[in-house]
Amino acid sequence: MGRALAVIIWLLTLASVVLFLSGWWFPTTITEHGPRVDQQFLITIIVVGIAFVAAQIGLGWMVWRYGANSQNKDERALYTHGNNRLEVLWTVITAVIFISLAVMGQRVWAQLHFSDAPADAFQARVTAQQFSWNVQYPGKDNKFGRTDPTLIKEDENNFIGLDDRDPNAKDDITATTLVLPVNRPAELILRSKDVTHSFWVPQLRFKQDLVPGMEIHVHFTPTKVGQFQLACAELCGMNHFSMKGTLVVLPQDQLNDLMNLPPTQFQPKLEELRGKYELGMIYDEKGTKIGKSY
Amino acid sequence: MMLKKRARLWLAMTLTVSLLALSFACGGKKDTAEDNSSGDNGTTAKTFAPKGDEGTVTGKVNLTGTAPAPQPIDMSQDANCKSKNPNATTETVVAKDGKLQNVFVYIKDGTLADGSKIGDWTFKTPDTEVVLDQNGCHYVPHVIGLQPNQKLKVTNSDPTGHNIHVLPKSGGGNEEWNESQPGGAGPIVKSFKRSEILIPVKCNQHPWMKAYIGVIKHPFFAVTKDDGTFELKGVPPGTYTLAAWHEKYGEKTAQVKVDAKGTATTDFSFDAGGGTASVENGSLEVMPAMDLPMLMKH
Repeated sequence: MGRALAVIIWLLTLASVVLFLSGWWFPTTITEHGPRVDQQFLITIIVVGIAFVAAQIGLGWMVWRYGANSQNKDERALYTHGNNRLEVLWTVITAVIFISLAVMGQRVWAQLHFSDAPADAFQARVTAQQFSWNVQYPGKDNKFGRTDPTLIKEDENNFIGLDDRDPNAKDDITATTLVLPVNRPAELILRSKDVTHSFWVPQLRFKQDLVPGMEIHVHFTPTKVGQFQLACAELCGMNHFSMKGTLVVLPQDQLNDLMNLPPTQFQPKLEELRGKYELGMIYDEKGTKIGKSY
Repeated sequence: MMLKKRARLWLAMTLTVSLLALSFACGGKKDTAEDNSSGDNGTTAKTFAPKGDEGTVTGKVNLTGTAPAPQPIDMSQDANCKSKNPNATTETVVAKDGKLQNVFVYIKDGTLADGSKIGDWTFKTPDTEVVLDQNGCHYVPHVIGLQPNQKLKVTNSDPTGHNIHVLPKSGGGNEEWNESQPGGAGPIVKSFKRSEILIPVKCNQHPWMKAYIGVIKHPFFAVTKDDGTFELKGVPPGTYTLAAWHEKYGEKTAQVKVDAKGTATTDFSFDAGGGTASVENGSLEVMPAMDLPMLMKH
């Protein structure tokens, strides 16, 4: 069994490597920062992949060489106190590798979370609740209307407590679909009504918690048009599995037309536009199909 | 031999004491709320029996002013809902030609012709079930009424799952419950122990879904139809306070006198501009946003 086990270890290692080399990867990214996140993942996978393969080859070799049915049954094991110099060396090498990866990765992460969104960014407030997504758009005046939790009336379509007495709220649009323009920075203001949720569109290459009592800002620039599934990535209750929404990235002119409509005409027009873009496909900035997103 | 006898005695005594303790623990205090046959106030009362001289109360509920237009509901989160009910609209105010639907009309209080209070009588629990269906991701009917301990049958005619969350007032004697009902699942049968005007029902899966259940100890209640009319049958002669309850406009009352075998007519009127619902909306509590400079823009 000893040598067979060694062979199994090597075969599993080979299968893992082949899986990655065969092109198995994330869904196509649709954001400006996405390629940098992918590059970071790739570098990390190459580094840890080399370490993984080396460790598995070594493990297999040990099983082959010293297994129960090896030819060296009478060979006696050596006792060692260890080697301090070697310990320090490989700990330092590991630390340098991981710290370098973290430093490389933090720039793109911090750019999404800590730097200001550009002044011309398209804004949308995303308010999560068990078990749905609510999106508020500021409308023509580009100002969000006031919201107040005491005004929430879910059976009257007021899921976020929008105060209709506020002049800024008159043209605000609320929907369950997140619509963003292509090639224009988008800023999301993430909030939660009840428990912690997590905003996750795999193609956007970021995942962000929505925490009750906090307004979390994040910004990015979509570069492809299409429809993409928005999922909640934080177990938020019994029906967490059903908490899904849709992100629709539209060409600039289509988005402008949509946002300039009166709130009552928003949903029918959005349905019409969604009909143009197949879920799972990606389109260029003019709306021409260019391939699959996954 | 003596020791054995003594040991047996101790064993018998210990067993007797244990059994007594167990019987006290299990069957000691009876929950008075379980039995509503003696009426809401717990006093012993006579059971009402029709004498054949009962009358009828009819009327209609008007809505003055411009009724708020029903708003389309965005059901995108559940494709099954959207395909089954593509033109769903809000149902808070359903009015046609100035007549208000879904108003719960009931006898709130009053005195029978023999001088007895209606609240002092008890009423037989009907054997019939009251059905609340989930169809097209909304509740049908929107408002229902039943008596304490009468069976409520909740059905799901949708191909998707629902989660029925019934929210009675805390401390009112009725229990809050919250159960999932997948598409194609059998009915859920429940009942309420106490009278309550009115119990909100929501779906935890589809936040726009709302219904109201009126639980009332007597059978003298009705829900207005699409033409705003209502009819309360079998009302014993007497003088009563008639109440009309609407989820957005609250409650209004009127005095009504029912003669033997007579028909009394009472109309109600709500102002479309008003809007003080007398029932909590049952929404989840929302935490106001705080300023957290670390994660805010800087």
